Parts: sequence; structure tokens; C-alpha cells
Amino acid sequence: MSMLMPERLREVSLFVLERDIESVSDVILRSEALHPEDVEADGLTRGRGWGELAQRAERLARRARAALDAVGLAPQGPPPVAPVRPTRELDALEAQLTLAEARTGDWQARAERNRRELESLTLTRSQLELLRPLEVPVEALATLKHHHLVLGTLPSENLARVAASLFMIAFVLVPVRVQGNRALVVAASAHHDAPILDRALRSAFFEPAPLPPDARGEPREALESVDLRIDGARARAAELERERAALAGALQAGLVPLEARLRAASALAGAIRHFPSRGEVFMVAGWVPQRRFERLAAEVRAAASAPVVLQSEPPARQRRNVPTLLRAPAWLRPFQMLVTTYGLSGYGEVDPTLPAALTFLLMYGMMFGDVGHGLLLAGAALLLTRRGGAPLGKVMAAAGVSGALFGVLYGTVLGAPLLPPLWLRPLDRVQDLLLASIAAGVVVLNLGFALNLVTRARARDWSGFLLDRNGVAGLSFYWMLLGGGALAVLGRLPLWALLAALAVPAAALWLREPLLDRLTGRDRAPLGDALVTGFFELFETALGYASNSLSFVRLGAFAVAHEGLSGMVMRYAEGPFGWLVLLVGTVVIVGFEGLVVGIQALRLEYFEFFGRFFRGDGVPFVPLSFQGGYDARSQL
Amino acid sequence: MRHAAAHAQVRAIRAGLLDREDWKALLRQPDVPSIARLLRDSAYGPELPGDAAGLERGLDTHLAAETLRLSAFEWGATRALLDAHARRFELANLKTALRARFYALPEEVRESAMVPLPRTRLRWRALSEAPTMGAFARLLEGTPYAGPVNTVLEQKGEASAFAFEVALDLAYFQALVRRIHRLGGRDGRRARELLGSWIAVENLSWAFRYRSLSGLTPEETVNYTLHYAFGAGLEAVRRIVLGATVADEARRLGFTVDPDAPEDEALAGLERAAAEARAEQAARLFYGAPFDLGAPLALLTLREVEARDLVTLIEGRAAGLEDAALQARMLGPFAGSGA
Repeated sequence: MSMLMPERLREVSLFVLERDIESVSDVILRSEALHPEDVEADGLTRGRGWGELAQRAERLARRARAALDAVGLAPQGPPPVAPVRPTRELDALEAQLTLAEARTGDWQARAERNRRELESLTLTRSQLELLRPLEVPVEALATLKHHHLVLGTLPSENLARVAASLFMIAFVLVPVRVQGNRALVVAASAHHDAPILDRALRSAFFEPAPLPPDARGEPREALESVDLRIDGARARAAELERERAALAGALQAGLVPLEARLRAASALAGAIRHFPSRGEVFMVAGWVPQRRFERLAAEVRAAASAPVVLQSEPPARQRRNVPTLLRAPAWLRPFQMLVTTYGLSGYGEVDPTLPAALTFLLMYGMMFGDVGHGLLLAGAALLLTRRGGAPLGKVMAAAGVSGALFGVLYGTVLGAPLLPPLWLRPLDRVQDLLLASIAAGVVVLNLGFALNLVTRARARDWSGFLLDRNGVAGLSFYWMLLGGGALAVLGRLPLWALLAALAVPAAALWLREPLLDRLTGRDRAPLGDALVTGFFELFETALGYASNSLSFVRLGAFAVAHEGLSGMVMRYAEGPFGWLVLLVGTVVIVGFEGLVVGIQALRLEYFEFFGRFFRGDGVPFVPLSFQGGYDARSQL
Repeated sequence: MRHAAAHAQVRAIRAGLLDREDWKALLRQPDVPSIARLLRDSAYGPELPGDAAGLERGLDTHLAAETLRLSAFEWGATRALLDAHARRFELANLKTALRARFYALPEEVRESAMVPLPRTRLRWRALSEAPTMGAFARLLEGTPYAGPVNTVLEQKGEASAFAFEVALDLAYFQALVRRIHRLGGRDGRRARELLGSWIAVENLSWAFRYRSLSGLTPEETVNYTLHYAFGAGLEAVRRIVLGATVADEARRLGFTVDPDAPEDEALAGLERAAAEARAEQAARLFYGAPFDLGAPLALLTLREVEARDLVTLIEGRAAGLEDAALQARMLGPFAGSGA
């Protein structure tokens, strides 16, 4: 069962004297073993005196990051080896940072000046460029006698908006040219409507295109002098870039570790700030994996100068919001994505990674059974793994291998019947394959029932265990319907016996709500309402069981379609350009059909399997660390 | 079949909606901390903070997380719509960061207004403390917010928070409207039914507020509102700037509000009537066909209404309101819809 359940945790409370809180917190963050818990109690205050220190440490860390950014260095590195002590070392770290900033600051100021000049020149150039099509002297535009005329750009998408907004005055709005996402427009109105036109244009993000004050004549003449100044600014930018590279080389050895240390100090002070305290005593509360508890406790005691009071206990059965730390072995971890895409199991819930992996591979292989296609898919997946898509690549590779194994059972290689089938050929025995698919579905559904029973039993939820539609009552009803129905059809069970066998679980499901009302003493819903609702839910349950089981017919149907499609490709490959047909057909089958089969397998996992037992509303275990600090939980 | 996986999620999540028993228990609680304790054992639990102060933000966190959880099971245009719908909380946070930057709001004030969000790339603290709007815009690079912020920045410079807020609101809702229009068939119909009236009422609210509070010209009001808004677009805004009342516009959307009520109250009445209508429609669609977008959107609508009722309960308890007054303010009928 160990692989089926999340890591066992202990709820831990540490009571630490203020003089030891830094060293103890350092141990905790370094261990990355404690998921913090917010605690509220009368008389407890939060992080007494640590707010300012935490803010200061964070400001310094931000400044250090900005200094790194300025010279193009990236933050990196593990947490500092030496213990982190914000109360003692922030002054010295700030002094080091100020020295580094002095070296980066001068370069930054010059680079910023040059950037602004270049921006300004580029803007001027673009304004002149926009005016080029007008081919009229610029000064003529400002001397109209009876009309107010403006020229400028606005976002193209706002052209229609501004026209729609000017519904109370006469106006002209002429788009001259569209460049990128902005349009150059000429707008005009009568002089007395000028304020209305101007405000409407401004509200549509109109940018007037004023010319440089000395611009005279046609715009193209002014462009030549601006181009010369732009060339000069670009040359200065290249020189500044060379300076930056040299500066980064000189600062790297000091600034990168300094930033890492400030980041760690910020995380540590930020964590302490959230710890509640009373008087001189701080309380650190949270969840620790049971197997790491002893070691953490020893390290905490060793780090403190005074005794640390340490209370710990396993979570109470009814405890909510216990975080979940999954403990799948390395080979199974890629398959966690199949589960976490749906949700994270709660602490008391079964972790369905292993059954999900097995059922996914079984269903995928059954639908995609072909030695050649399976191995090609596995090969492509291994390439994907090497290019950074590790978890997905590994799942695809395993799916490919499963397809190849089913290919051996079906005896097909690239759609050709080259091997003797160990089981059957899908196109030869369609009916047998479809029946086998439903049987596989029954196995998967029953696994879902079983996992639900385990979860309910562990939670001591006996009413759910017995009366839920996925509990004992539902399971009995399902088997009476399925097994009893089959026996009745075969004539081995009289109809009255089938109905009698169905009556008990059906009655349990029908009367579930009124029964629970009475057993738990909760407020009763009107009996009539409960009976009517219960009846229709029972009806829905029966239909649901049938449709859930039949849903797995697609396993066989896709296997048949796969062999049919592959066979067709092989037949056409015997004609002209056969190699091309074979190549394209195989790529389509492995790529497109492989994807569709994956979606179908996931659909069966989520809709038919997970729906029986899995809520997926767990809280992830996010330990305090120098990387994430206390606020990491809110970033999830 | 494309909504089957999302529908499976809906089925799983719907069990977490508060039922009549939960609501009765919540209404029995005498104060906010005891309400918080009860809610921690509900579906909202994982997102609720340890203290009662951040309770309302925790509810929004849950809504955002749930929307994203459902969107993960959709693809194409429906996924894009749900992702955009989830971004409304990110937009609200961004506007808070904007105000924090412009008005130098203290850290505790801005943090008390920020909703902790799952899967956001935005760095709220850095945004709130950005020294210039240029730095603010650079922090938004690669997000849908960069475009509108840069547009205002280029044209108006530092300007005011209002200009940036309007640009962000417009860009967000225009994108949402486009995404809804892109959906065809039943998906499109469901999205128009459940999101359309919300967008329409938002647009009317902007138009009335700009008309009465901000002293904007009619042209500016038209430019600062949506032109396509499901029955409350350009023509409605033009009528409003020319003097239409809330009651007039509400009637056109099929709602009734008191024509003699002050404009603020009438707008609140319109918002409430629209929310009630959406919730009723959601309750109808919830058990409908599993293979369209209706069930996921209906669940999100019901959850939103539930969260709104919880906020009413929390604020009402904090203000010492009696049960009767509280229930009158809640959209009660669906307290039991999860049962």
C-alpha cells in the first residue's frame, strides 16, 4: 500500500526562544522538510519585530537582483553554505552591495541616456516617415482658416471607436496609412467643435504627430539629418554593450553569491515574520514527513542554545487541509502528470499514480497495438526526453512499448501481419476484441470501486463506504446488474431471482439520503422529496453503470481502426511512390492516431476511473526553503 | 465529446458546492472567525488563509483556481474563454497594484486587497513598487496586459491610474467578447447566456458612472466603454450619454428596477437582478447536456454566486446584521443547489 498513499506526515509545533529563532529557522529552511501552517490563538502576535527586517532584506535582495539584471548576470546557485543570520550580517551585505551598485550605476546612467536619445530620435523619424506620403509642406497644415485640423497616429483598432464616439458633431477622419498596429490619420472639424474632437481623439489614445520645431518643407528632407544622429547613437550603444560584458566579468565572482545570500536572508526573515510569538517564545507550526522528523528534531535541538519544546503527533482522522507529499518511486514519477493534471490527492486519499499508470498503459497499448508503430513512438518519445520534455517523453515511451507488446499479441508490424498473433488479429475477431474491451473496462471500474472503498475505510466514512453509489451498495448493484443480467440472458437465473438480488442494493441506494438523515441526526429533507430524488438518482446510477462499462468498447474499436488504417497504408504503399505513402502514412498514424488514442485513454482514466474514487482537491506540500520562503504556497 | 473530461470535473466539484445543511450551519455562526473555521472544512478550505482577515480574498482564490482547473480539461476556443474568464481576478489585482503605485498605498493596505492567485506570472509586489510606469510596463512583458499599458504610456506618459485602468478593462472585456463570439453552436449560446449579461451590466455600469462621476464628455464615455456588449453596446452607451436612466436600460435587457431609486441604488438593483437571472439559468443548465460548455460555465456561475453570498454573510456578521436582513441580501435560492 505504501506506493498508493501519500507520505505520512506529523503535525509539529516547535517553541523556540527568540535568541534561537534565527539558527532554528536556518536549519528548517535548509532541510526543506516543514510545510508551515498558519496558527491562530489568543495572545499570539505574528513575527514581532521581524517585519522591518524582512522588508529590508527583501529590498536589498531586490536591489541585488536589479544590479545583476543591469549587467546581464543571472541569479543562481544553491543556498549559502554558511548559516544565514539576517540580524547580524545585513549591514555588511548592504555595504558590499552599495559598492557593486556604484560600479553598475554609472554604466546604467549612461546606457539609459543613450537609450532615451535613440528612442526619441526613432520616434521623430517615425513621425516624419508617417508624414512622407502627404508630400505637402509641413507649415501649410497649421494655417487653415475655417477648420481645425490635426494629424497623428492612433491604434488601428480604435479608428472605428473614435468615429462611433463622434456622433454629435460633423467631422472628417481620414486614415492615411496603417503601420503595424497604428494608423496615421488626418482629423478635422469646424473650429468651434475643436475641443470635442481633441478630447474624443485623446480618449482613443491618439498621439499627435508634432514635427521638430525647425522642420520646414517636405518631411523627407528632415529625415536625412535624423538618420545621421541615429547612426551615432547606435554606435554608442554597441560600445556600451562591450563595457557591460567587461563589467559583468569583473563583478560575477562577488555579486552572484551576494545576491544568493541576500535572497536567503530575505527568505529566512520573511519566514520568521510569519511565525506567531508570545513574549520571548516563538512558535513554529507545520507538517513534517514522518521519516524525516527525527533527523530534523535532532538538528533543531543542536542548533538552539536553549532547550526547544517540540510537540508532534500524527494528524487526527478528521483533520482537514493536511498537505499532500507524494512518494512515488523515480520510475513512476513521470506518470504523476497523468494525475496532477486532474488534481492532487488529499492526505487521506489514495494516490492513484500507480493504478493510473498501469491502466493508461494497458488501454493505450490495446488501442495502438503494433510492434513497428509502438517502437517508432517510443523512439520519438526518447528523442523528446533528450530535448527537455522528460516526463511527457517517458510516458510516451512507455505507451509506445505497451503498443509494441500488444503488437506482438496482435501479430502486426507497421500494419502488416508479419508475426503469428499470440492472441488475435483485431480485424479477424472483432466481436471477441470488443467483448475483451468491455471486460477490461469492468476490471478498471472495479479497481475504481476498490480504491473508493479503501479511501472511505481509511477515513472511517462508513456511511459512504456502505451506501455511496461507488461504495458497497453501488458495487453490489453493479455486479447484480452485470453478472445477474448476464446469467439471466443465458437462462441460468430466473428473472424473479435477479430482481430479488437487485432489490437490496437498489433499496440502499434509493433510500440513502433518508437513511443518512436518521443515522446522523442531521436536519431531515422532506421524505417525499428524498424518495423522488433518490429514485431518479438510482435510475441515473443504473444507466451510468451500463454506459460506463460500454464506454470501454472504444478500446477494441480503436484497435480495429488502427489495424484497418495501417493495412490501407500498406496496400497503397505497393503502388507508385510507395515509399512516400508508407512514410507519410506512418507519420500520420504514429503522430495523429497516437495523439487521439492518448486522449481517449486519458478520457477513460478521468471520466470513468477517477470519477469513482478521486476528489483531487489536496493541498500540495510546499516546505519552507531558501528558494521559496513562506510565500511560496501562494504562488502555486 | 470535447467537454467530457471537463464535465467529469464538474461532477467531482459539484459535490463541493454548499448545500442547505452547510448554509444553515454557516448562518448559525455568531461571528466571522467561527464562519472561517467552518469554511476551512469546505471546498474553499485549501485556499483560505489562517486568519479571518483574508477570508474574502480566499474565496476569490478558490474561484480562480476552480476556473483554471476546469479550463485544463478544455482545449481550443473554449479553453481560451475559460482562461480569459479566470484572468478577471488577475486584472483586479493588477488594478490594485496600479493604484498602489500611483497613490503609494501602504503594503498592508494593498496586500489586504490582493487576491492570492494560482499560476500567475505577475509579481505583484514588484508591480506595486515599480518606480515608473515604464518599469511597470516592462514587468508585464509577454502578458496580455502589456499592450494596453504601453499604449497609454506612449500616449499619456505617467498620466493617471484612471487612464491605465480604463485601457486594461477595455482590453480585457473586448478580448472576452471576441472569445465568446468565436464560439459557435451550443458552446457560443451557453457563453452568451451566462457571461453575456454580466458583460452587458458591467458596460452599463461604466457608462453610468462615467456620465455621473467622472465629468467625461459624451465622446470620451463612448470611447471608454464596450461597443459590443450583448444588448448593452454602442447604442446603449449613446442613449446613456444623452440621458437614459438605469430603469430604461434595465428594461431593454429584460430586468425591472425601481425607476424612482437613486442611480447608485438602481445600478445595484440591476446588478442583483442580472446575477439572479444568471444563477437561475445556471441552475437550469447544470444538469443539462454534458457535451457542451453549459455545465462548466453553470458551475462557475453558481460558485461565484455562492462566494458572493458568503461575502454578504461575512460582512453582514462583521457589521452585526440580523439573520433576516442578511438573507434578504443573499441570492438564497441556490444555497441548496449543491444538495
